[in-house]
Amino acid sequence: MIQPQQRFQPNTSQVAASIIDGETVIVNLSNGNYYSMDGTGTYVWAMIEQRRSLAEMEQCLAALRGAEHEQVAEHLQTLVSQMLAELVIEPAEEPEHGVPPISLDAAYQPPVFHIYRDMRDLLALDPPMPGLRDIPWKSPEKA
Amino acid sequence: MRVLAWIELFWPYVGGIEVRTANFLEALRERGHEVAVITSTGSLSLPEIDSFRGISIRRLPFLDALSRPDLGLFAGTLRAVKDFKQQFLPDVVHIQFTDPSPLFHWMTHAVRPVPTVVTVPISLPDAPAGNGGLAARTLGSASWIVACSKAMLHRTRHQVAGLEGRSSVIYNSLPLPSIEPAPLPDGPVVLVIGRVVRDKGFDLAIDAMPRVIEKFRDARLIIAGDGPERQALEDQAQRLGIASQVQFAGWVEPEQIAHLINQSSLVLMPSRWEEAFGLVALQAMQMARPVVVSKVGGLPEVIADGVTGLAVPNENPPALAEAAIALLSDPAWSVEMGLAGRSRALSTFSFPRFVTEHENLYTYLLQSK
Repeated sequence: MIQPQQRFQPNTSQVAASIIDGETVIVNLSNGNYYSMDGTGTYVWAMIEQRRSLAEMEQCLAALRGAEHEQVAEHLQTLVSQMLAELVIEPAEEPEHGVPPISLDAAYQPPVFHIYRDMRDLLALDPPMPGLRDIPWKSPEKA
Repeated sequence: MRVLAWIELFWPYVGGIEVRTANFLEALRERGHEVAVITSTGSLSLPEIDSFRGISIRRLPFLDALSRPDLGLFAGTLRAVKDFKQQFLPDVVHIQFTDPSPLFHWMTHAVRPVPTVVTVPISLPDAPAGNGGLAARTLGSASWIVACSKAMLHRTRHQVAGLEGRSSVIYNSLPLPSIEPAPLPDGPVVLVIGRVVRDKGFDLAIDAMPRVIEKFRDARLIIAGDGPERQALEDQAQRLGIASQVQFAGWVEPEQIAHLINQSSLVLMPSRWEEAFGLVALQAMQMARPVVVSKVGGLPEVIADGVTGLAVPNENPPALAEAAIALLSDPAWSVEMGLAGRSRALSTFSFPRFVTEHENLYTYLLQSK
């Protein structure tokens, strides 16, 4: 159980992260795993970058349309635990000030932390033909 | 219908999946659909925007963006995918799942939330331990999974639960070559075709050859293809004293494959890995040649063991040799199997059927949205 006053920050010694058009993309540089979140998850990431406490994040998210306080608390516990387990975030001491990055007219969607552990395996699949020369293929055979 | 094909590499890159997809997209276009391709740039220097036989191509540096990793490049690539989807406005996205680039599809799915068809043309690795993975997300989020053989369907359903109601087999296909099958050659010629990598088991074919040569003094093995194992295979043939009867044909252009098969008595596919289908087996059947395959993946299913060829235990050169000798010793049986293969290629694996089944699937998904 993560305590409400606990603050977090991106674990910049291990990960690089960027919010791209509302989608959070995180790469673990030590093992090649990728992570992504959108919607509510991206709000959470932006608040983690501001080193907000769990209680502050919960309060912000609960203001979203359709959010229920208890549900938000439960979802946040799960999400933050997953990110801690993946070493994507780490505990922080001091808060960093800033306006909460929340669009208050947005609807609440349970945040989903997508984990992609198999990127390296997939990169190694079925390598293309070795020794390709200039445009070796004229055209496919006509049906 | 507007179909956006998502494929690791596309023309001018060549390989079974690339050739089959190009043929398929061209056929869709000829049936009145609009088609476009999103693909990786790959190692060649190629334009970002291109076209091939009326098919629009958008090339992006997916693999660089994922393997470096460079979040600036990643962001640029992601935005380019969004732009392309908003510009092309596909009705359906069809992914050939052989690489991690579909991550960019899922991350841009919301900009054009249309049905996603995922074809699994190769065996995917088992899911990594613990929660999550792109393979699991891709198979889990797809509107429909297409497997190219029953073996592949079974394997994929075993890997990801809950696919029963949204997955099926559409057997692979290729257009018939423009040339007709030729009579069997006078001397025994055994042919293998493909990337010269360990998984293809060409070393097993070489190991089988001394037994074949013992029975047929003038037997030859032709290895068509190139790859990192070639030198090792040449050394192996030398060591076995059969170098003069093993011919390395090197890279053969797709247009020449049918001609090459016409010069053979039979085709071997001694693969070690789980071939999802085995297009070479189909190419051999199209040219009325019997096929000897190892019992892996979809190979035995494609040839229908005992009907159009013989399936032998995996990694077993004596069994390969025995099957080859049996066919070479009985040309009438070889011809019978070859004709059965040609007939199977024209029916079960016909190209128009392949295109129509995909069209029907797209229509079904659009109507069930």
